[in-house]
Amino acid sequence: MRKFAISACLLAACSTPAAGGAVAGCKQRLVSLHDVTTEAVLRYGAGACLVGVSDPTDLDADLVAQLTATPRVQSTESVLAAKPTQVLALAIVAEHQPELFRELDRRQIGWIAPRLERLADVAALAADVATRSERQHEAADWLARLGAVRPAAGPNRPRVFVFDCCAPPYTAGRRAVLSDLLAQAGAENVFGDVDDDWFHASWEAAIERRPNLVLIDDYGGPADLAAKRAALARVLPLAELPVVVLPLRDALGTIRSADVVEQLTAAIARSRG
Amino acid sequence: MKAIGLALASCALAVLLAVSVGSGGFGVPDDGWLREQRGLRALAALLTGMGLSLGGVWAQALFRNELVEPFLLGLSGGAAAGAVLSLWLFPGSSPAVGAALGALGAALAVRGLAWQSDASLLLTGVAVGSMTGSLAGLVLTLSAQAQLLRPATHWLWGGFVDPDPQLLAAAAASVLLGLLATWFARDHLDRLLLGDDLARALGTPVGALRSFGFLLISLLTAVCVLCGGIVGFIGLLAPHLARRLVSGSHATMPIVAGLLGGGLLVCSDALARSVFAPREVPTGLLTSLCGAPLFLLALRRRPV
Repeated sequence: MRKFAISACLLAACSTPAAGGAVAGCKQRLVSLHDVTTEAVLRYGAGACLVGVSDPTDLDADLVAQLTATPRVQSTESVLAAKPTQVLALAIVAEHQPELFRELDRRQIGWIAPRLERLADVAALAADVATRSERQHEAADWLARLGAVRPAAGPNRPRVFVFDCCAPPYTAGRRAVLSDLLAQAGAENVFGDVDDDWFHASWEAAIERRPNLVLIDDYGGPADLAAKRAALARVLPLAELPVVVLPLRDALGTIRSADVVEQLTAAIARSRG
Repeated sequence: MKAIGLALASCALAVLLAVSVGSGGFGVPDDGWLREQRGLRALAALLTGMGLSLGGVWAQALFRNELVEPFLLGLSGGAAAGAVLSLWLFPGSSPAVGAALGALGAALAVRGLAWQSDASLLLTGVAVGSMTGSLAGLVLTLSAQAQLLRPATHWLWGGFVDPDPQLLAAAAASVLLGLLATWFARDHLDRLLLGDDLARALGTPVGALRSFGFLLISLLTAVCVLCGGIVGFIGLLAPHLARRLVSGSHATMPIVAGLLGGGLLVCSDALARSVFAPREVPTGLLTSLCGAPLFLLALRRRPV
């Protein structure tokens, strides 16, 4: 009898978890593993459909407040325990946790993990999240705004050096969404020819490319921005250049990217007098 | 003297290479700030290489073991933990000071925990290094705001971006102190290689020499960590290369080791900011990449 009970327990532990119950008002049980997808779900009004979310690292406070009751997930086990029907992520998550996505395939759970390199990729992701969360109607305005972004035209496009952090400087290459956002705002990333998303350049290379504007990625908090300004001040050839500050969450590409392009265009115009 | 001349010439060549090569290829830049930075970086790499090499010479003599290098005494793990914790607690600050304090803290812990024998000191160093290194890894893995710790990931491999002239003065003073101490202790270090009992019989204060040596290694390593992060391998490689050029006697070998180690690090730093331009890779990666084949060649020609 005891052996039978142990065998039954083991069998139950190894079996595939049954599908989770429906969430009120939602046809899908959503798990979001990246701030970008979490923001889209919340702004579409599908926050109640989230049955798991990765720890938010750089979301607006009002969005974080909506996640207080949502279980935090990260490992393969915790994601599967949430019994999602759709998992939303970006390519970087899939690269770090390939076993999770293999398991999702095996269990026939829907997932997306696109690589964002251009504004068009952001728009495609925004549309995909709208479809998977079944909020196409709520997403219509956001998608229309993203689709309406047109590159700002004009002579003398400012040459921008993106300073994310660190020494040697961490900066954006051609495959970072920020390069495309800058292009849409009528500027040019000095490292836009480098076939990479984000990488460590040398100060020397940054100076040799003769930027006339610096864009600082702001991680939040006065200490971070002050430290970055101090680091720039030590690099004399860049110290006198006008600076535009962009919150990190805006630099990575979000459903608000149309607004970000507008803000960037205005900030660049202001910085150039 | 011939070996010292050879090491000095290779060092001078390395410095010449460092000031004339950059992300745009060969050539001295028009910009005065860039010229100055190249010079300061070369000086920082030279002093760090010399400091770590001298630390390696002392460590290998104190433990009578050619496999020992300064970072084996738990200093690299301590430095890594200090750097990561300082970035975690004070985002935006430089990890260098935290790293130097971490290295010194690890040295004190090792010394405090192991005073019975050389073997226990070395093993305690390995354990403390492993524990503190894991602590650094844990913080890096668990931190929700991974971007705040990004400066650490590059820095942990070593590099000489943004050299601070005041730090360089401290490094120069430490290296000078190391050279003078090695010169005055040369006979005692030679006797130590014969074994503790024989060294004592010949008049060497073994215990005092060990304590002083440990303190000197900790100081040199902490200053080198402040200047260039965690640059491994130099402390092991340079004494070995020097022994191939001169005898194992501590009269000239430490000077040759210092110059070779400094020259190698200057070369590595020049390559780190030029070979993959416009990218810059951590200097420590290239030090191991370039140094290991040299090390293997030296071993092949004259096995240990």
